[in-house]
Amino acid sequence: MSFFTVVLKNLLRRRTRSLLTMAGIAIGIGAVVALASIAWGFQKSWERTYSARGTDIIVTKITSRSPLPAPFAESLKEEVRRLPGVQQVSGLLSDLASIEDAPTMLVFGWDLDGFLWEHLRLVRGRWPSNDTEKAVVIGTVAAEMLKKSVGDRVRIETEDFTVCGVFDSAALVENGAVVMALPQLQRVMEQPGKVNFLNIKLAPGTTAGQVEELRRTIKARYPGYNAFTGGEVAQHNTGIQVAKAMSWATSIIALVVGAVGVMNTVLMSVFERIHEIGILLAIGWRRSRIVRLILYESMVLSLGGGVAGIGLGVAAVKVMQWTPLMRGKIESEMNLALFGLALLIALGLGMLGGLYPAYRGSRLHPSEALRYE
Amino acid sequence: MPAPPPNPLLEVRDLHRSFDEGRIQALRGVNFQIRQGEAVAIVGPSGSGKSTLLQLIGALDEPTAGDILFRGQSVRQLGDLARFRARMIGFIFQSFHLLPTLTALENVQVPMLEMPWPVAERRQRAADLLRAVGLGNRLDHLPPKLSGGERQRVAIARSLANEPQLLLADEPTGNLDSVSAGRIMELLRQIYRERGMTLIVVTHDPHVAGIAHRTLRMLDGRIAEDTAA
Repeated sequence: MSFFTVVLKNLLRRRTRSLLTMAGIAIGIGAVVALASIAWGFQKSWERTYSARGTDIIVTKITSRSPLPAPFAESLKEEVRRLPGVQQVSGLLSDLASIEDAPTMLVFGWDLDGFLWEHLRLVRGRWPSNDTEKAVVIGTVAAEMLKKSVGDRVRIETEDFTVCGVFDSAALVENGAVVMALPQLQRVMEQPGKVNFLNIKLAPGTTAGQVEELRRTIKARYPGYNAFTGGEVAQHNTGIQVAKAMSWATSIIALVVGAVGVMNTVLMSVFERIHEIGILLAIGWRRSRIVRLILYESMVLSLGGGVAGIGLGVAAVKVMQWTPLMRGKIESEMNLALFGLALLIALGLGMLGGLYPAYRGSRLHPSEALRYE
Repeated sequence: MPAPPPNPLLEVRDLHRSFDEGRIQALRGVNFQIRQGEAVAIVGPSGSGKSTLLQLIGALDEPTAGDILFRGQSVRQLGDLARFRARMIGFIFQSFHLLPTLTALENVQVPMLEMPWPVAERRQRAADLLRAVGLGNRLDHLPPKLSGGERQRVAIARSLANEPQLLLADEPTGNLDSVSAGRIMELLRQIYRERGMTLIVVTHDPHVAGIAHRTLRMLDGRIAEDTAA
């Protein structure tokens, strides 16, 4: 018989309680896995958006923390285009708009002659033909949400547009968006001559050092503006930061509840076993072995809960992605690092929850514990 | 009275133990010596201090004053009492005190976890001990499936697990009928003789006292009488 056999048999003796405690941990860890994978997925999705667009550097105005950066004059585009190494610059205006019955959607206005269009794949219909046409293309997910297809009319703010095409993008964010010619959105949003992003494409073969150099040049030459690579924009995106903070806040609450559950269970089992701990001390167990017994019990509970929680979290995300309300809107990033982190957190909870009960158990006086019935 | 041996296994010197800030004086100056291989019965009325004395000898408790010497060394100065309990002392209790979730074979192995023996050796030793106490056919039984006498046999096997020198039994037959009690005492007598151990039994039972070489009668926390059988 190994020491671990004693640990497992103690847990099996109180099977229902052990299972309920594990369920508590599983819910906490499940919340961590689900929320973290969605928050990370959200960020990944934005990063993919920029890489799919072929954008190397994005220029925005430094603004207070609104979800989208503030608009600025389009004329900056021509200046940036003349900087060394810049191949193309495409202006972009974006806003959040509620369109008909659908919840808030991203609406983009793009330069018709810009390179952004190149990464979209037209599924049906055609692209907007010129800057004056009151036409939009919509992503496949947006088409589903709005229940619109080619030829339908869609009302954006106060104006009606014709859907002239449906596209598919590698980026989930764009698939759920509406895209039109830049001047059209500038008029609808009452931002004439304004954009809030410049997408810069650099000449092929530009090194990372040259990208960094150009970023510094832009920041130095245009005070009040910032230049990022795609990944950085995703990291600094307020929406993403809020999503991450919310996911951690929710996770921490779930984890604290789980840890208190473990502590309660283990402490109760120590109080019930005072006499038994007395026997173990009487027949020669060291106090450190009593500490280990209790800590191991607590850690087995929380690790078991952690494994179950990963399954629960994965299942929860799959269910969310499948429900009509959420379909196509959430992308999740699940990987071994996340699962490893979840197990580490579970183990930490077990340690934390077991520490005090173990301390209490090891402080028992052998002869008093033996008298205790 | 037998002459004090030159090198006692155990020497108890002016042992005092009080509880409740001195309001209860369980031991009020106990002195005696025990030789290697002796079997000693400690008898006396309830509350005379028998069990307290046994717990002090077994290092489960610490004296208020006085000292216990094991092979001439003060137990107080041992430092690692758990190691002393694990290797030198075997405890047998009135109500067996087996772990209910572990089989007979596993219960006997519980003290062995403190020894540097591999798993297979622990198992082999435990099986041998259970055969020696007549439970070779009950290795995988859980305590609730065993009779009182059988449980006490498992407990005796457990007390022998780490080959201790001193066996301490606190009312070992107190929870058994007279037939089982007689068999358990016979087993104890046989074991301590075969293994050259020293046995101290706390008991009310005159039959139990009958297997001893010597009887210490306690009264009000002192040794009132020390008689050879």
